[in-house]
Amino acid sequence: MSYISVENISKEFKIYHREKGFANIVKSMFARKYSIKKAVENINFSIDKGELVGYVGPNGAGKSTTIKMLSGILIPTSGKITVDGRIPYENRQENAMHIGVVFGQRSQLFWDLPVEDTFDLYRKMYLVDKTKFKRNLEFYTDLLEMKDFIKMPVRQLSLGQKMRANIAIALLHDPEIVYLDEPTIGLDVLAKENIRKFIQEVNKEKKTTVILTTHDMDDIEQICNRLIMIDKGQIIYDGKISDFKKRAEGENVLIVEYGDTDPVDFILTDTRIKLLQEEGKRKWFKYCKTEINTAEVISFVTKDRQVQDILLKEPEIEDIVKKMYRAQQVEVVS
Amino acid sequence: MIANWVSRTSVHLEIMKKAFKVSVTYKINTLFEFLSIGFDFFIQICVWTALYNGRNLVNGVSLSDMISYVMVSSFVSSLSYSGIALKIANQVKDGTIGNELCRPINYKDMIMYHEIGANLFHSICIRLPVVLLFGFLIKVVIPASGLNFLLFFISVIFGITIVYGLNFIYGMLAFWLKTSEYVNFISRALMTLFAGRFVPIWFYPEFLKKIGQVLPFRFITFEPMQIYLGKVDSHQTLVILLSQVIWIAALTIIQQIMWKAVQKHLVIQGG
Repeated sequence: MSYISVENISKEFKIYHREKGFANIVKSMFARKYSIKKAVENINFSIDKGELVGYVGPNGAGKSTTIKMLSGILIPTSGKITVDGRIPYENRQENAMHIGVVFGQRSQLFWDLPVEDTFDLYRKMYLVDKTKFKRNLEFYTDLLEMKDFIKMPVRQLSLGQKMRANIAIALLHDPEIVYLDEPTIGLDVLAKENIRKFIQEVNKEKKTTVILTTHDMDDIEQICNRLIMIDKGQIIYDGKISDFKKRAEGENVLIVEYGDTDPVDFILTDTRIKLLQEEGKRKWFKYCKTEINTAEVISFVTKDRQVQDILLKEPEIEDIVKKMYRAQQVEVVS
Repeated sequence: MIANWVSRTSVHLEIMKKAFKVSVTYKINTLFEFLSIGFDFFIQICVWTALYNGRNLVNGVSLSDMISYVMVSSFVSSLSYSGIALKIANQVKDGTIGNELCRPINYKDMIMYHEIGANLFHSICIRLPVVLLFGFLIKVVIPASGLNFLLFFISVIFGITIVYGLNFIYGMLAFWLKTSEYVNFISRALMTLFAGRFVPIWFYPEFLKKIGQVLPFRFITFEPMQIYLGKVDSHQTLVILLSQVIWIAALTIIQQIMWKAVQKHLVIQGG
């Protein structure tokens, strides 16, 4: 049996229609109008110990709902979740001892106190013994470069510093699993880099299973070995990152900026090249590497023409994601 | 079992310590709190002195009893202050309750001990010195006897338990109402009227007294104050303490039922 298993999980929310006014609030205590929204619908996946999984999807796809069910704070409407043999929502507090959770948009820290005070409290809360506490604190302080701000009141810290502290706190008790809900949201490139390296390091050193949600595809590309994509409450991809990238392989784009004097309207006689978009003197050509090589394309589109600039665009994971989201939408509309 | 209790208690103490530390952070606040309590006492003493207008007893209560009531009950009130209803309701409303629930600790304990820690600072480090200062200057009535003080102390602890029970219930209502606007109304209005914080229940008209009889609010400050001042005999004292225990039991059952229901269809809003 797998370490984390999610079987046929659905979660429905009642969306209540609110009315203004005190009388209506009182009335709404007894009878309320609502509609049902399915946040996730019949999802299945299983995760092995030590995996580093990226869980992505557009806003409102059901990512956070899944994380909340995995961490035991939401109860699924139907289906079954087991995490290391436990059912998280049936024994929330017991489950909480074994997991670490970071909600990127919400801080766990005492606003008015130095970071180390929150560490103290969490040491007691998670029954971490003193030697382990010291060892972990040193390890994290070092890796996350927290030395400069660990004695400063949280209200004086930058977003990146707070995020680092929150991640360290979630990992203080050496949880077997960590759920990171948008751990790099709002951070600059350097801070993101730092956090990514840290997550990888912890995963390698302590064999911690990591599930992270994000909107930043670089997070996934750089640190995860598996990708689960969800949209409209359903899983639309589950597999290796490399396989995912293969889907778009060969779909290259060549951007050519032509010189002033040239007649830029011409007919593409080669069907292997497609005109994607044009804007003034610029043209975007799409082609498949499996059908035609780049040199051929360049020589074809620049023949007898004055060229100012040529740009080659490799397929990026982000583009594939966009395409997949779009494909989903079209499906729903039709 | 015992080890479990010890570790839990040490977490509670740690939470209280941190909350205490947070309160100490803002030193200017402390100064203004001192001053505002002093002014408040001064005004209330003036008002009651004017109302008594030279009479010895009103409804069997002397002016010096009344002034003691003002001081000591303000201390009890600040010890038993609870704003957790609004805190819980707001956490439900903006979804931060999700954060709290990821921790391996009882949610109510977490939020309650945090506030008790802060209350200890405000009542013992700020209010008590002012009470003692005024008491020294104008002679506040000391407890009727040592036993009275002990029983007063117990009934204050019971009162605090009742306050947090009520507040937890108000707060949890937010799961159904999806708003927190109602909290101020129920907690403040009912408390001010029926706990006797502003005007002691001695001076209430009969019908208000009767309504107050069946509500738990008078057990928070008013009844402990009666014990302190020796206004009730030993039999009545026993009735007060017993009633408090019954209210605590009833509120505990209601909280359990609500918490079970909440967990069954918990909805965490946002993101």
